[in-house]
Amino acid sequence: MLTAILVLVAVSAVAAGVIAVAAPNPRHATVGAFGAVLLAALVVDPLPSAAAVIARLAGAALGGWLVLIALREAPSTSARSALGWAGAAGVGAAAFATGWLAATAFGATIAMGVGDGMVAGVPGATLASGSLVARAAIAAAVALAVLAAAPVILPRDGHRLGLGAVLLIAAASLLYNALSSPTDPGLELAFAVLVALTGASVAGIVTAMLRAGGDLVLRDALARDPAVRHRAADDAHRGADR
Amino acid sequence: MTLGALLVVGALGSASSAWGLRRGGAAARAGAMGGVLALVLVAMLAAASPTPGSVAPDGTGAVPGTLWNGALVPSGYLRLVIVLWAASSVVLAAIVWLLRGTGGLLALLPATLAALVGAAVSLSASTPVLGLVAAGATGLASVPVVLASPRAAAGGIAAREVRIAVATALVVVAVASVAPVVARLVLANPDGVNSSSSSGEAAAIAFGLLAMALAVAARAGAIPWHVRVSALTDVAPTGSQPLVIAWLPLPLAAVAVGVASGVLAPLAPPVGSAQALIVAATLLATLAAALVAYLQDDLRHAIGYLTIADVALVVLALAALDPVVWGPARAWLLTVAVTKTALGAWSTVVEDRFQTRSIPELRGWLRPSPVLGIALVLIVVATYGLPGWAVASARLDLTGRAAGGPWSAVLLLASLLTLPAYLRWLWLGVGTRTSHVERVGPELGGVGRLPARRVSLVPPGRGRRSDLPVEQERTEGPPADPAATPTATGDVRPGTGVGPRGRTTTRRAASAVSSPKVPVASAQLELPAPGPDPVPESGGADPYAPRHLARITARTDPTTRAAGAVRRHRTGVLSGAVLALALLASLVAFGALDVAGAAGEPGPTVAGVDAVGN
Repeated sequence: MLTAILVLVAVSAVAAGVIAVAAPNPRHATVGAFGAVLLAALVVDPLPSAAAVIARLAGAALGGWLVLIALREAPSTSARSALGWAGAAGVGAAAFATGWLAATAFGATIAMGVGDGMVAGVPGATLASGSLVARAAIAAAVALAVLAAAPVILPRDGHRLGLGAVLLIAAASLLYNALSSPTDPGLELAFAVLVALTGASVAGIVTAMLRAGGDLVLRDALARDPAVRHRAADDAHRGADR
Repeated sequence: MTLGALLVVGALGSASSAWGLRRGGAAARAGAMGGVLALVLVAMLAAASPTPGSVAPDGTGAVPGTLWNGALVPSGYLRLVIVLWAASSVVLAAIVWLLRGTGGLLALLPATLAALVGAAVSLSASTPVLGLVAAGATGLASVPVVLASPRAAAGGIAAREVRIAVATALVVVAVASVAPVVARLVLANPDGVNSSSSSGEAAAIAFGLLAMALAVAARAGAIPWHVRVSALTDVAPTGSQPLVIAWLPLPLAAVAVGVASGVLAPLAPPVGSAQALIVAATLLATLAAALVAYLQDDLRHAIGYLTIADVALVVLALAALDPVVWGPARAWLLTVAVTKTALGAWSTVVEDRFQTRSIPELRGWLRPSPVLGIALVLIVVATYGLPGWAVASARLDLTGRAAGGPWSAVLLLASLLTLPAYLRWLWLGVGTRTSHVERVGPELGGVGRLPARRVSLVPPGRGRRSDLPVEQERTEGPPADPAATPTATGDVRPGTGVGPRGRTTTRRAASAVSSPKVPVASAQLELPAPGPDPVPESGGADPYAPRHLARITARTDPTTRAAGAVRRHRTGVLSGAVLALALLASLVAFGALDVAGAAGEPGPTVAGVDAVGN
């Protein structure tokens, strides 16, 4: 029963990731991303300690809350995934299935290769034992990483780029928990701090972008300031060798 | 417990300085002093931090000398990194304060303290994944630094910083999570990793190695990921470039090298193709960075390229896949960070002194700035070292072990090709002076003069060749009216030298001096005013504002008089501060403080890897 619930939680984390990339409203997307990172903390077999869950809950809540505050002046829509709801859900489902199959094969390889050496607590032991939770965790990790790839690699929106980074954190924690359970409370705390700091950074970025341009669109941020070229043309004190 | 105190002091110092500096006035001054005090305390606590000889639990299950039952283990390398980072940051903060006032410290102090805390966790973590997560959080310290810029592009650049900080760390987290499982598979195979039945494991190791190399190179800003470094050098406030491009990549690179040399290297996998690919990419990136640094006319950009050319060399430690490079790689990272801090300080002071960041416009800079010249020579020496120095040994080890035969010589030669960029600056320094250089006074003039000379009347006709450098400096000083400043950024425009202390304002100040209608003494009193603060200090008057200066010289408060004296001789003080950083860099490059020994000791990450196989 618990296994089924945890697998369902993994699927829910992927669904939250789909919301993060496909929801047109940036507030909904924010809730989706930080919801995904919170749900990801629960997909562990055996279950994480209460302190670890509280730490992750606090980190996700703080990070998400800061971003939501920063979004108060934001437009009601932003640059969501070009795939739309159906496309993002399809990509997420396909990546989840691929991850599940890969986890199954990897677990079988570990069990066959290491055999009796895989005692509880050894990295990969849970997966080698055929745990559905570990497979679901790896599948969800793959799905969230694939969903995050587009906004992180080809960003069009500063806010969505930050949410992509949050999804990557969720994916990394799922992968680590699947292979290295039982979880380390210190590491859970570190993940929580990373989520909170990423949320704070995204909040700062959203605030700066709204103040500068009134929207969240990433324009050519790396281009030179036009005023610089203007000034260079007017320069009255050029060096003799320029 | 000392490590715990260090983390608490750093975190509190970061929060309190950020809180105070944003409020301006007396709160800003208190925040700045608190931040600097926290830096000093962090350095002292790190210096006093014990390094336990063993991380084994005692009879009660506790691990003495560590935090959280052995999760964080202090080490000699951690102690050295924190001490040098904090010490150089104190000097850098002093330089920024002299140039920009307390407003210039708005992002630098909180971000530096937060990064120190993150780096302390990262470098003391006994498991690689914990170290990597902390390294990712440390990298986020660049975000407030970038967001302190008023440029419209700052938000986008900061978003890319989040991407690079988090994504690179998580890529290495993924590798570090899978690597122990693959290692068990390899070790369980009686035929070894070179057998055909282990080809899958070898491929996985090669893939992981490439992914880590990619992540570290991207974090360092190696070409072709260099564009964000150029943008960073443009938007990062004065004095914060060393933090964002030299120090922040250190934790991630150090832990990644620990994963490669601690988990993957002992397996001795047949991954020659992946290693060759990494070596070739690093060679090209180093050559390209050296070439661009030489051709680049923008001083900030050139220093950015010099930095990434050196930092990216640590990727060779991944290609080597040899446990022996663990020490040289960490020593290299530390010496590069300290050296580039000195170089960044030198660039900041030069840019302020000559009111330009265009290298051609700096022609002749060496004659009026001999101390800065000595500092640059020391920085060059610290960058390359002499035979037997720690930095030279690290360079030789990295290039020698990453590739065999003639390729190691090619790598070594490529790593030295940044030298022409420095030589170009020195050669330009002895050329005919440009107008930017012509109008500055001697570097050390005014030292030893009594403060009373500062308020003496000077005939307007003394001109630029005045023997009183303080008055001379005043003609290039900031405008009396901040509203007349052409930009609000506090930055000199690239390639132009136009800025808040640039030509437009210079002409006004100069005309004010030469005008017989303007009281000369009062005009002179404008000189020591700091550069425009990005943050308006509404909470109180700036004690160094022109109308208060006369009162300052008359006050008997020793602190105020000392601050006033430092302001009056700020040209010499700034050059002296740069020289101090250059000397520190030279000492570290030489191997003082046992850099090589501390870097080579088994780090907690490697020990943790071996102990728990994780």
